Amino acid sequence: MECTWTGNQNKLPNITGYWKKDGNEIDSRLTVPLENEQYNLKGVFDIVGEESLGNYSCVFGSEAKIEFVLAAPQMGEVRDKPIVSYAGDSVVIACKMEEPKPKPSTWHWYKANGTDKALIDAAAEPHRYQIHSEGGKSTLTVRNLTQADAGFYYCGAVYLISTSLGRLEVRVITFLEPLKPFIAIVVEVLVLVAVILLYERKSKKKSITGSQKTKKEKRENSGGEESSSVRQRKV
Amino acid sequence: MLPKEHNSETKAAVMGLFRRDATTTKKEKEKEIQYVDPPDGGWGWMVVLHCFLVNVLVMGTLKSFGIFFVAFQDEFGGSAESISWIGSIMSSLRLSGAPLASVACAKLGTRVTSIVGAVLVSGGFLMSIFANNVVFLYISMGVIVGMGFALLYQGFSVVTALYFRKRLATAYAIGRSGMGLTFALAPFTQLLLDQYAWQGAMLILGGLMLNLVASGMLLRPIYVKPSTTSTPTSSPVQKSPAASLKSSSDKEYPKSCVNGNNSSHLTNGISKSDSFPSPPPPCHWDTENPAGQSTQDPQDRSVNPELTKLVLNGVNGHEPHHDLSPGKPRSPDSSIELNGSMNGSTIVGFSSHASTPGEVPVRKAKVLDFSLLKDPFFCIYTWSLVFSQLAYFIPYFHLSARARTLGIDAMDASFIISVAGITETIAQLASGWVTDRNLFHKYHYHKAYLILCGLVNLLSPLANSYILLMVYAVFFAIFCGGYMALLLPVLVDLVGSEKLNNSMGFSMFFVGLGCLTGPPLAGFLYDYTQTYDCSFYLAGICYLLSSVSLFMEPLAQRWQARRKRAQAKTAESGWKTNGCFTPDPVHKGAV
Repeated sequence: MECTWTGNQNKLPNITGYWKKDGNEIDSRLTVPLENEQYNLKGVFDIVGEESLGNYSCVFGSEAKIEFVLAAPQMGEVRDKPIVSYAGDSVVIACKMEEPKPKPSTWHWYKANGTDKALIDAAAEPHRYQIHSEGGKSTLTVRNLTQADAGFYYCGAVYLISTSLGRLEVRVITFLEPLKPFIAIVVEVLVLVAVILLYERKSKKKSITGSQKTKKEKRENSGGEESSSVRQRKV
Repeated sequence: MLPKEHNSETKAAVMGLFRRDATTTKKEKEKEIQYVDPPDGGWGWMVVLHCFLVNVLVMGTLKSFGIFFVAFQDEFGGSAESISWIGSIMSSLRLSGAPLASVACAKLGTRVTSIVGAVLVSGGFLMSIFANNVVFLYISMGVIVGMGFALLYQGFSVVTALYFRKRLATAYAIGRSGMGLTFALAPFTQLLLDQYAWQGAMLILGGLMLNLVASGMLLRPIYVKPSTTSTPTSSPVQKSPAASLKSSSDKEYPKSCVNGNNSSHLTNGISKSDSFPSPPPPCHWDTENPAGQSTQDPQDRSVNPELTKLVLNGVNGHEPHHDLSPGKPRSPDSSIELNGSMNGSTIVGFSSHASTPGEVPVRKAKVLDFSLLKDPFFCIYTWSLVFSQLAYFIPYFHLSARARTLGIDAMDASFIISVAGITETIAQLASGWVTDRNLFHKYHYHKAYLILCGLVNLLSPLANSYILLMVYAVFFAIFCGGYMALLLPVLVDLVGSEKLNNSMGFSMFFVGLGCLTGPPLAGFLYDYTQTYDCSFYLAGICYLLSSVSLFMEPLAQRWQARRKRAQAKTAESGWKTNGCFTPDPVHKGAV
């Protein structure tokens, strides 16, 4: 890693520079000369494993600090809302590494067990778990869900230097849960239908009794008109 | 035929009717038919409520269907295209299923049709819970739900047209404004999905659709006095429809009375036996004295061809099932008299036996009335509708994409669309209210809106910034809402509320065909030209095309009037030779 600083108002010919990792000094302090109006500080570090990752900073005197973050590629977007599925059903959870980032060598899936993570071994229980990994994507299928399967799952993208984790939540519900609002709605509909039917019946009774009177009158009238029309036609 | 003979035949028919009358009296008591004027309010507002609910739920489902997309893809693992077919089947069947819906309306009644539609929709949703592959969803969500939507749509449109005449535009606009609320249904669906997974969401949505059953029961059947449906067509003067209705109704009352006999047969939901409408009492005074009233003769004669159609429908066979109004015994008389062109014995034969089997095949032919396709007004309307609906979807589809290419970010783009949606809803209400003021014929408004829509779209490629795009969206929404609110009223004006059932069925079918091609065509244009401007040009041209046919309306009126006169002349000659009345030797040789 290389830091370059253009200096401040007092262009001192020499300045001390050193590297820090996670806030702790590493290596000895160096004297950095001013070359071409710039101070250059270079550091070479071997990345051997997870311990080599962290926040590196190069410090110039007591005035300038530049930070580097060395880490494995971060996991792509994962669902932050819980994935809901039904008991007895199966659920598919997926993790994805963003496109331009390097693909992991392999994927691991873990189930949270309290504070621990237990590795899921798909080969051991093929009827329950199935892991399908392809380059930057991986999916875990859990079959025959039970309440015990609910909780947090971790997907790990394994790189040489470390593993990136993503966390997903799975919720298992029974069919009764959505059934409750459904039944509430059905009851409401039945009530409405009953109310409308009653209203219709009431208004029908009123109109029938009312119209029966008018019908009788009409019938009397029509009898008379009948004969008159026939008479007219004869003309 | 000598007058005396004719009279005795008449008498026999009348006596026969009386006998049948006595037996069917009981039936009538329960099913009293009251003929009322369209209430233009009162219970009609309940119908509008149902209409509103249908629009909210149906259009909401169609629009928020995309939310289920990801869930279905996860569950069934199909390609994006195969999953999107579900939505396409649903929305296209809503339109293409309309002829079937109109048959159902005619046979079962609008109330039953709406309830069946609601049951189909919720049943489809509930069935989809058990889906285990995409094809199952094609059928349960696509076909069943789509057909249910079609039935619901047909039901409420026809009933709204019956309940409202003067305020049809307002009522229809209020009902349609339910579409504006669909934006609320999308987040709700998302919430359901998050809480209960797609199966639970389907379950609850299916339950919500059951509410449509309850509101469908509000569609009380109403038997409307036949109106002067041919008024807009026959009055050459460009009076406001309401005024012209009143003035010409005086002239054409006898015509419309018998028209009522004919066309109300096709009215929604009037099923065979007991609901045959009798002409209103004053009518009989007219048909009673055709000889004496020479001034009415031409009009009566012009009715003949329609009345012959009436007889073909076997309607006469239903006379016995009339309720007891003074008009009843008269109807066979009038039809016999006026149908001089028909074989007299055939008519009596029809009226003397109410045998349903003999009439059913003829009835079926009228339920799906293909002759409507030759009706010039229907053609005008359908042409206009197909192009305007084709053009309607394109701007909405491509507006957000265009915004993105112009560098506007997604949040602002969706803001434009929601503003457009709200503006459209308000514009619909305003347009409906304004149209009901009746300053001009409704189709003039319709024309104006369509032309303005077309112009706005043609000018839209000039909009390059957020503000201009917003301006375009607002104007487009205003004009769009304007013409949308008038879709039903214009159809009622052109075709008449009696033929509404059939004409809606057919026009929706053609619209469905058009809608299938709209968005893919626009997409193809984009792929070809790599710019969204072309789709807006296409939309603008389609709107202008759709307004063109409406200019032909006066021509169609004149054509129709000429045809009616020609038919009247031929009928008149036949009528004269039958000798129902003292033949006029002067006219015998004419025609």
